[in-house]
Amino acid sequence: MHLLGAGEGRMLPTSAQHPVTPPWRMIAITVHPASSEERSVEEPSPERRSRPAVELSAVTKRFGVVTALDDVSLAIERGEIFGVLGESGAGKSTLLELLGCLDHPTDGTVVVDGVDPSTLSARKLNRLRHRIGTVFQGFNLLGNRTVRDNIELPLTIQRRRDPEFVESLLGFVGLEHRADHHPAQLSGGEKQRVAIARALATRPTVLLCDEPTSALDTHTTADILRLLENARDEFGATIVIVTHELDVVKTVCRRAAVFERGRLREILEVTSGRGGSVGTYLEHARRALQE
Amino acid sequence: MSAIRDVFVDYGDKIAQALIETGYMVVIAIIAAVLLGLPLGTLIYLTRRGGPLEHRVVWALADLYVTIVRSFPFLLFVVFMIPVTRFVFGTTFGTTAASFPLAFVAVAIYARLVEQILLEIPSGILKAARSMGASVWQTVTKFLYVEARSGLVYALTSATISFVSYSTVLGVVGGGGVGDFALRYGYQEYKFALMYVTIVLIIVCVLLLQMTGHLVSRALDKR
Repeated sequence: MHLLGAGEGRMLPTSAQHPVTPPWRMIAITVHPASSEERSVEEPSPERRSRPAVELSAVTKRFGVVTALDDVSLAIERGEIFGVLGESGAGKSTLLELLGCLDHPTDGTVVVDGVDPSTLSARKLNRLRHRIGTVFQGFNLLGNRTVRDNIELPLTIQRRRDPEFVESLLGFVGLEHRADHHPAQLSGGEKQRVAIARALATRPTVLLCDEPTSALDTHTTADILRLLENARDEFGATIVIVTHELDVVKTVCRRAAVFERGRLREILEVTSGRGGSVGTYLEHARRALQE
Repeated sequence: MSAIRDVFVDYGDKIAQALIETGYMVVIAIIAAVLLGLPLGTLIYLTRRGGPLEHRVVWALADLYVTIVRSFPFLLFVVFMIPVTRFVFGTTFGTTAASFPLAFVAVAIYARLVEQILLEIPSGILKAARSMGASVWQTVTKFLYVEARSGLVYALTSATISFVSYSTVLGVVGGGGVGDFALRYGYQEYKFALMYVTIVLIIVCVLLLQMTGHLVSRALDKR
């Protein structure tokens, strides 16, 4: 799998830039418990891997007489953190449904991780869904499961086990000491951390974030955004953040699509004085001190 | 006090026998509720409009069953079911045969409660299940029942208490039980001490059931 996948759109920090390789990263690179049969379905061929993580061409989605998405074309590069902006009713939720392979477009094609989900059998479609992680505004954690069980849940759904990776994810989101707590005992920021760890548990190619910070305060928002950046850097995930908060996009995205009433109005390049690479301590310092 | 003691001296065996009969009928009702009512309520929830398995015909049939059985006055339902009971058991008399109509009602009562509990689970849980690519079976067992478990136990507790109450009617078809006992040996023979003692026994049983259900349900709820 391509945990540190080739990031055409973006310079990824190589491990040389990190003086110490964090333990979760070592595990993330070394453990691939996919069976050979699964691998043939799941592992993208080099050709597939060279394509953008997400491609929409002339996508239209209608519900009865309502056109939720109207002729949208869009490509999101691997390793990119891409923003989707719009007010309510702009078509953001529909876009997420399509990207999550939970629905098919009325017209046009969606290609996720090099595959058109509308051509797949139900079984393979489910496999594709397993390569997509979702983080929700309301966290959507199971209150009756512990933090660890919540993170393990997507693996359980796929009848897989990967306890070491789950442990490393707990470390990645800084909640080792909370592993046996229940969500009710956590703060909002901690809950979203659990949700992010849960979304990463299946090592997704694409991480969809539906208003991930709208329920959080400013300080916690900054925390969660940093965590998402780290997730991109450590796991090579392509991240799509759907939000109405401009600050969120400005902080982590290089590009953002602005939607209005189902139409993609423009893809904006975010200019924030940041260079091509993000995520190093120097970059954070520059951003904090010089902006 | 001596009247109460006499009741136990004279009727202790009969009271014990009646309690066992009630317990037998209620246990059968509980088994029916869990094995059939729980899946039926879940089916109504899943096939509802906008549900994960939306299906109008299945939903309408399942919902109709629950509504009809629940709207029957129970005594009339027992009488109404006599031909079916006779067909299945060859007799309409006795504790087992009497449990048969009670089981039907138990399924309907618990199915409705299960549906209501599942409807109260936040829709985000379903969304999470869908986004993880969970099958319907996984959605039910790994998400819905996990989140609903304390509610399901609590509902089963109140359903059980209703079953105790319903079972008292089953004397008319020879089901026996404490209700029948209190009526026949107490009320009809003017032994009011006996009747009141039996009623108190029923109340104690119900209190114990309620307490157990409450404790179990609370222990299961981590939300």
